[in-house]
Amino acid sequence: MINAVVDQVLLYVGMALVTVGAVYDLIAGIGMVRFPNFFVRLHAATIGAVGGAALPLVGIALIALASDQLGPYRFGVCAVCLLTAAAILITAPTGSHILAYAAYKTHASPRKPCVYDALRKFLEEGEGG
Amino acid sequence: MRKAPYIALAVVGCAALTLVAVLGAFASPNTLSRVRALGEFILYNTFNVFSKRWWAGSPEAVTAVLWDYRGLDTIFETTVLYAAVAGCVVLGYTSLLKRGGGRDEAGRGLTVVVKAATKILFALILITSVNIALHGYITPGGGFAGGSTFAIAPLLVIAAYSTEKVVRMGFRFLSSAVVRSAGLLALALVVLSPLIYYGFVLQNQLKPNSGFPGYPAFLGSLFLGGSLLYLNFAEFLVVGMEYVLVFLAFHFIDKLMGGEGSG
Repeated sequence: MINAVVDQVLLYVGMALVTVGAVYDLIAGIGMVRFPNFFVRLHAATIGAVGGAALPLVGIALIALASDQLGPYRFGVCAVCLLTAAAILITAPTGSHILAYAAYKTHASPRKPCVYDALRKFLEEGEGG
Repeated sequence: MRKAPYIALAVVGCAALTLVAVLGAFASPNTLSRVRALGEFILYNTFNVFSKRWWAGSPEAVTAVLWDYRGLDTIFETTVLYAAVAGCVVLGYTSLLKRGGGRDEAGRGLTVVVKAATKILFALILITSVNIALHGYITPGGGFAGGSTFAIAPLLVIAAYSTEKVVRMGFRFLSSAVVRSAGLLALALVVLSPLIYYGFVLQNQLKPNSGFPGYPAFLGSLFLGGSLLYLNFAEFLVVGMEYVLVFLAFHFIDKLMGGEGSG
């Protein structure tokens, strides 16, 4: 009885996470189109990676735990999903960080609508470029 | 007008793809049934514990085809890659000799964020690649895929730190070449040793008209996958070290030519 309830809760929480991830992906897509320059678009892309890929993977891990028809394989599916989510959480921010750093240093992208540029102050004070 | 060649290429590519699809759709039923017969043969025999006459002793049909049913093809592919990398090694080694040593000041590398992430990913990638190679006879994967995954780890270090860092970590030019050749020798040993028992080249399990009893397929209740396990691991060493060699050789050539040289 209690098992069935836990399964139902896991299933609905997992489905909610997948749905929230889809919303994140939609927001990221809108941001990619609407944002003015490379650096802000990178922010939208990272939203798509973290909110739109890692979060649904956690949801799928919960759904897999609740799927009794998978037998013992459900733990394997759950572990692989969580590991992949962890790998995305490590790589996606690092990737966007280094892309922004490289684009900033090589002037590959216009810094046109600029609100606040902390890196320039840091580079001028610290090591001089 | 400068885009014209690309547009033409795209049109030709789409036409070729469409042609393939159309040919596939209108192929004679005779051909199709023969293709399916081959697929049925492989699916029926690959891991058939009840009729071991043509079996491969591996639950993973793709690996069984690559190393057992069509093993010669993979051997030739490995040889072609070996020969191609040999040219790269010669160029890199002569550059290394002319430069004298090839170890100088390390580059500053990328930011601390990237370095920290690289440290975590390096270990993860090494574990994953060995896993892919050793499980290649049970799950999708194998030596080539594992070796290619392995090569990503030093590539990440080259990008985040410098090539000197990779050399200091132990990926030396000569030792990589030695490991790669040892892998190829192990491959040849596994492939040729059935001949001692009057078996066939590349023989995996017991076959009709062969004196070779086959590589062990089980250890108790554990799958061993016959010769596929050893072939996969040897191929993993060969391919992984070949990629490392190519990265190092490009680095030394680049330095000889007077380039920046830090990846």
